Amino acid sequence: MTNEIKEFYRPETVQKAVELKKRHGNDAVYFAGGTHLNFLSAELPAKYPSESSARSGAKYYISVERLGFKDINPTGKTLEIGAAVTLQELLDGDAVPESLKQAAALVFPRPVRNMATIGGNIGAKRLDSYLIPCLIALSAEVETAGEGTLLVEDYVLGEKDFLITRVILPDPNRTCEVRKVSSSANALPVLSVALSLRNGGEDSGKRTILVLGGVGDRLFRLPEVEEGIEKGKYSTREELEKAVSSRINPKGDFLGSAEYRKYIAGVTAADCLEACCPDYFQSEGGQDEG
Amino acid sequence: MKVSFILNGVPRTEYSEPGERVQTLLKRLGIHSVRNSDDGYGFAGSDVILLDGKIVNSILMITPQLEGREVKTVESLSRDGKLSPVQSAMVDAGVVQSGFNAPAAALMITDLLDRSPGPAREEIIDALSGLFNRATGYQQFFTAVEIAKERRKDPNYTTRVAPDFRDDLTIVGKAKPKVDGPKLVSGKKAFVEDMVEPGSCVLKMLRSPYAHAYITKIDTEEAEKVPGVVTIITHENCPDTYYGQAGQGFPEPSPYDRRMFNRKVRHVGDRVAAVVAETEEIAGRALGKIFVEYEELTPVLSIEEAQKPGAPVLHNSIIEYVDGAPDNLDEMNRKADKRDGKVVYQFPIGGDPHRNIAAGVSGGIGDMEKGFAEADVIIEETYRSGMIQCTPLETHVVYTRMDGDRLMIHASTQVPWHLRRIVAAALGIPENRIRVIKERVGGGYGSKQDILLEDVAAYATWKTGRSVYFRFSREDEFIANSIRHPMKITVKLGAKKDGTFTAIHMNLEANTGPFGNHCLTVPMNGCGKSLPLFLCDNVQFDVTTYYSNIPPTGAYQGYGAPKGNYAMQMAVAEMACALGMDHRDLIEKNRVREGVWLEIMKSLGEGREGAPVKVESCGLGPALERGAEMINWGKKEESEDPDIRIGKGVALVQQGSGLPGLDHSGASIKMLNDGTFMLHSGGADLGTGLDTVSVKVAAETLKTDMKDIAILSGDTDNTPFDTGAYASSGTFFSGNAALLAARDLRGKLLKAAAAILEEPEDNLEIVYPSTVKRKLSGNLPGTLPGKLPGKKEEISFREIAWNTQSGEGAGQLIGFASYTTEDTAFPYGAHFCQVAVNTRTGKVKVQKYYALQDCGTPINPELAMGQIYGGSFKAIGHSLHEEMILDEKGVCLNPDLRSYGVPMIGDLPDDFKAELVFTEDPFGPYGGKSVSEISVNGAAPAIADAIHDAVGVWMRSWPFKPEKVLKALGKIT
Repeated sequence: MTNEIKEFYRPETVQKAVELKKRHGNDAVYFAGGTHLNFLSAELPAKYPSESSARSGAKYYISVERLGFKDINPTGKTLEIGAAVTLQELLDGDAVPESLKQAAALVFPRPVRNMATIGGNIGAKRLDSYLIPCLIALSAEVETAGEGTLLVEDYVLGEKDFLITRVILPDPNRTCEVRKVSSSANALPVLSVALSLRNGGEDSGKRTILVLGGVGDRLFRLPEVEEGIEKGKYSTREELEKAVSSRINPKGDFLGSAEYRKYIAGVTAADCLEACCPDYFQSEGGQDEG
Repeated sequence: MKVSFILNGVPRTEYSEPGERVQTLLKRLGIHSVRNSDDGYGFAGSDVILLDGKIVNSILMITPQLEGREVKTVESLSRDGKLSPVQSAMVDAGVVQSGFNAPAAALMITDLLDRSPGPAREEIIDALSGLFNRATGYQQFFTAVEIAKERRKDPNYTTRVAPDFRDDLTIVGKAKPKVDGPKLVSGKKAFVEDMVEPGSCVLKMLRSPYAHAYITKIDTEEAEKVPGVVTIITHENCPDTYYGQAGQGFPEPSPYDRRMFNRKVRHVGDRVAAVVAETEEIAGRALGKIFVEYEELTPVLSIEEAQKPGAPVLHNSIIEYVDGAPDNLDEMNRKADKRDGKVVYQFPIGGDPHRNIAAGVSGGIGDMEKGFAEADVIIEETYRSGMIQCTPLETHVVYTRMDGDRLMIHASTQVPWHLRRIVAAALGIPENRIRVIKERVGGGYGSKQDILLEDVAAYATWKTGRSVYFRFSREDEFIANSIRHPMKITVKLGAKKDGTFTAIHMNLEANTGPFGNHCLTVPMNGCGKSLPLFLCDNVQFDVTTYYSNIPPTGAYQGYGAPKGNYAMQMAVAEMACALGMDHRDLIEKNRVREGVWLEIMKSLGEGREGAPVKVESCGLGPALERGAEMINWGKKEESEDPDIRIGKGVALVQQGSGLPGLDHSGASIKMLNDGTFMLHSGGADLGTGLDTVSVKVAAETLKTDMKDIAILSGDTDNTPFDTGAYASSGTFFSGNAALLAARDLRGKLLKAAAAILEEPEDNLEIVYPSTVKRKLSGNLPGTLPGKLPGKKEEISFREIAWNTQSGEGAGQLIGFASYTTEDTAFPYGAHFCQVAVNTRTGKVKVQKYYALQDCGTPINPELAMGQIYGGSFKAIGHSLHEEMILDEKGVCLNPDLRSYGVPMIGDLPDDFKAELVFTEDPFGPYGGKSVSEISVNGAAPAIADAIHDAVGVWMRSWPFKPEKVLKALGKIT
């Protein structure tokens, strides 16, 4: 239960942090709240499913604690959240949209929420993250150190591990719902679902975003279903449930069989849609403005 | 590296490896309160600290994260030895049971009240969201917070936390602080891990990756070369002695079917080699250098697989009997394989290991054929249950050391004397070479009735002379601790149209896993604690227990009762449905009642011959009535969501109070020089409050304050013999021993006082507080009313002590008692629940859960309620989602608390109530009966009954996970 670390750096500047990462390459890792990296060093059973990739294996930890990025700033229509903001601070933040609070609250234990940061959660690319599906559904972007800004979705699905400095919500008030399916409050999730609808107005991305976590080896979206929701293709819950279920091919594991996962993904997506737009199905297949 | 931080107000600079966990560092610094329950997962919360004023998991942090920061632990809360308002509130509310993470809870509540001085229920749930507490069921934490909230304003604030019982008594039946509560809630040295001395060795176990295999070669040469390795023990150099791990009275009904290490491994996680080394890191490295070759065999993972003709045989062993060997034993042993070792039965229990049968027994009363012929309706259904784990917060742990030529065992055990006997036999040494000191137990729930690791550590210490610390990891706990026996139970029930039961047949098949721990008694208990709940003239049971390659099984709170009772109660519910009767009416028609004789008990002796038993006290009537009123039985509830259906259910529960004729408890109590007392109890308090029971009954008897009686318990050198805390024996047996010892001392006190006062004993009485007084003379024949001139009217205990212990005294007054009995005291109860079943998701939400239990006189009412909450909530978890899942090779896929899915405070029923139903029992100490185990017997059948009421499907297999409910509803296949 000891991390095999050669050095724990506490750089004072972003530039220094990036230099250290370049120097040590894959042997180094950015370190925020530590809940993920320290968890990976626990005596994990071999088949623990939330391991997003191989164990970190890093020997050099680059702490971000002295870099700042602990603020939550509404900037015009957007909201900027410092990478070092903890999940509990998200929950307590006045400017933070309800959907993101909902996702943070799904991490049930308060001690973990006091430690885990939004930047660390994204950087860890955890498959059991509730925050990441929500952020993707909100079309959130990450600002990185020297590598520009990119969508959370692209960051998480990509290979790079740039230092995240801020998370930017271009449309924080977008209607969005997040759900997790688990057998008990603190249990591992069978899956998580986030779905967002545009609240009208300009939006560069798709108007509807549906993100599924826990039904494969990565998070993914269902563009056809998103489009179907957009176009009011589904007049009943069952039609949407089937549309989702038929497009995924999850594996079964100890948390649930493949068939259960297919079924519950559809049901949960429909639950999210109904929560976003209670009249969606009653209005015979959707809505015009989300 | 160097790290500087402030610890409880004191600046510290410490040296640490950068990867060291903060929890480990704090332990090194003598902070005992910050404990490890999950090996770095940050799930259980036993490790929390306040870091810059915020609650965090220290086990999820590494030491560099402390730099420049402020750490507070529970040690900062109490000043000058006085508990903080939060800590004292927790003790008063009864939430300090095992106490393993009570300090963590105190810190969390302190943080909550600092943030929100008048917290709402949701805030309390949020504050405790990271706390796994298996013992308490969380409910009384709401009371604790309420008291703490007020006590922060008014230090003298008190409130009633539980109802009082027995107006004729002063101490018994009233809520009083648990005697070890302050020590536990303030994080003092209390548990085995706190006793480990610097320089002790660490033992780590190499475990089998295969469920079923022969070890064909084992080479430890390279491992032994690792500097710092002290010894390595394998099947090649361990004692060649067969024994069992079940901590039961001798001669045990469980077979001796293992050595310390076996040539054949029989489950994933079975012992292969133990490395004892100077440090954990060295032991870990050495484990990796042990070379083992296996001949893999086909695993047997279920009852059905074990039953198949030609199935692989787990114990193709030489079978021996100490007593009652069958005539064809030689024939049976002709094809035995010596590599499988031996199976030694103390006496016949119906085992046939060569057919994978560990035990088998049948019994009954009446005429089954006639009974079923008389029935108008017969139902026959099979009920199944899976593998559930005890999950104590403190994993199995032991610390062994030598003291001269004697072996000291600091144990977290329910059975100090069985532990001593089994270890002595395993090591081949006399019992007087061993002292077992039961430390505080951080949760046992039955699993610490078995000797799962003490034998190896003890042998290592005996062999090397070195002190050895051996602690199970959380994964070890899942794969090498004992689980509840999975069972398949078929109940055939016949009834007349009016509901009268005419015949009951229970066919119980159990899976004992690789070894036969409790293989007869757990399944028999499944019958013995369910069939007698109903009165029927024709009852038959058949029990067969099979060996398999699942993880080991053993005792778990409730023993076999939760599963037997699930089957029996379900059958009754299904019969009510078939008859078109109200379930409660059918129960009323057939249930057990006070004063009846239970003929069935003559065939249900656990490992010995039984006898019919009279039910002296039974609170089922009022429990059913009150529960029905609370839950509004018969009224259909509707949800606003059309996909959510609401239903109600009920189940009866019963247990025993120890094992009459088998259990034996001892206690002694000494008067000290100042008139206070030292009580020595053999009882093993697991956190349930047994020490408090003993002190209370002694104080009540001696009319003294509880604070004037100190207690030492569970120490084989210094306290009298006791069979241990299992089979719900604590209050009844150990409590009665304390009572009788106090009575013995009371007699001696009166005699001494009579001599000093020069008055016949009969004219004297003991009165509160701590005084012997002349009886009111008006009450005595031949005496004058009023005081007697010139005569001393009373004498204090202190004066008696001085007198008896002076140079001319008659000697120290010591009371002693040894308690055995053939009397029986069954606790009873009725559990009601209301569930909401989401037909879209299959999720079952327990909205209301009411547990009404008769434990006679509740000696500690608030602790009794805590036992009920804890047991009931544990059983709700077992019923709804807890389950160990094995793959086809017998590998456990979810060996950690989170993926296994223990219930937490977020899973509490919306409305959760424990109520105590008073009955007068003639046998228990002041009428006390057991209360803990029984509490786990109701949830599965009550919830399944409610699910049926809600959606019309019978859940005949638990847990009732959403996927299973959806299948039952036909939503998925």
